[in-house]
Amino acid sequence: MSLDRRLRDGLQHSSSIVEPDVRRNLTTVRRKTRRAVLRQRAELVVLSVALLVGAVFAGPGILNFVRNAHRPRPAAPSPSSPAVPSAIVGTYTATLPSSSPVLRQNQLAGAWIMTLRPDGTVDFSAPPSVHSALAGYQYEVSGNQFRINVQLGTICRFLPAGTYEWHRTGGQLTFLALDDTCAARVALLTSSPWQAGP
Amino acid sequence: MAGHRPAKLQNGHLPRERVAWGTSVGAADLEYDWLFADEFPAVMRTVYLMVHDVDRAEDLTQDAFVQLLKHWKKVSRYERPGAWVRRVAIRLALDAIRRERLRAILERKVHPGPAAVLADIDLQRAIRSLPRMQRAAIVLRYFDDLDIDEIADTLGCSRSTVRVHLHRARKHLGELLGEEVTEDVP
Repeated sequence: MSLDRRLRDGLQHSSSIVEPDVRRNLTTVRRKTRRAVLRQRAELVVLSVALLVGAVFAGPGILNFVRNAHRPRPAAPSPSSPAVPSAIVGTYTATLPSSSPVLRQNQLAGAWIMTLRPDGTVDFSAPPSVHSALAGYQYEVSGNQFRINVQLGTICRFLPAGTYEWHRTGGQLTFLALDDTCAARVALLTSSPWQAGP
Repeated sequence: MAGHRPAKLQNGHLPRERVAWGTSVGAADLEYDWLFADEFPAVMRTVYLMVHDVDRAEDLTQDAFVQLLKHWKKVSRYERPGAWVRRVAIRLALDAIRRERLRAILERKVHPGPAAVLADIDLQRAIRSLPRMQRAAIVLRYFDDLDIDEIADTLGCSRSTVRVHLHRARKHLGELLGEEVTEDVP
């Protein structure tokens, strides 16, 4: 017998054991289909609800994000910003005298460099006798009033920011204390005029 | 097709018994029921010859007909909805064979190679040793009597691929069964 003949006869014979109950299978198929459709609908409802909830909660945030993405970024505070007048922004130097008891007592005498940035931050470069970090403090300018929170390490710790009146004449910046409970800070800013740097 | 199918309609009318099966008596339901009665046993036999497990064949065939019922509105307009459901069933069977083989590998169930079973091998075991696509091609060719084009359409591959599957399968079966193999696929 050839292979082809054997395959035809053999497969036919093997399949003869399969006699499905068509009625029972039809009932099962209809039941399975109903379940599948219900499951599909339930999944669709769950998905819709999830999307709706997501849209309600995340929608405004996404909208803002999209809006902001298309909006030009606000420029960094410039010297012309009303909060920090360009007249005061810059780098200044001062040599604080050791004749001042407060300066001497707090070892603050010597050459200082103060940098007032347009973004409202202020850094100090202190003489070697000062070991505290003096960077990242803030200042505000309102009219001729100048407010600063530099703490000079532990010297002015826990004391509120000081308020001064400022004047710029040519290359010279001077401060007059209006309200500051930290005597060392008053001495730092008012003992000597600050000369504008190069 | 081989003559293993039940008679279609009796004098062109739906037998009374079939009308009572469906839960709904809409025209679409009746058409589906007709097709089901005509095709389910034949499709299940084909699937059985591929998976060699009656229960598994029944499950897979049911799943194919579930797909058919879900898409009945569209598929009923096709020229041969029966071919559509057969194709779905065969693809489900191919997936089942692949999963079964993967599971066997994972569970380290090593099937005996041809040499080990050569002494008492029968046709069913020989067919079972074929790769799944070759197995499907053999069943469709020798049981369902499909031509090369129809097999290619059912398996979703080209005619030349079907020829290669059949050629390799016949050669392998001929060696296992010690049967004469003619050159061309009949």
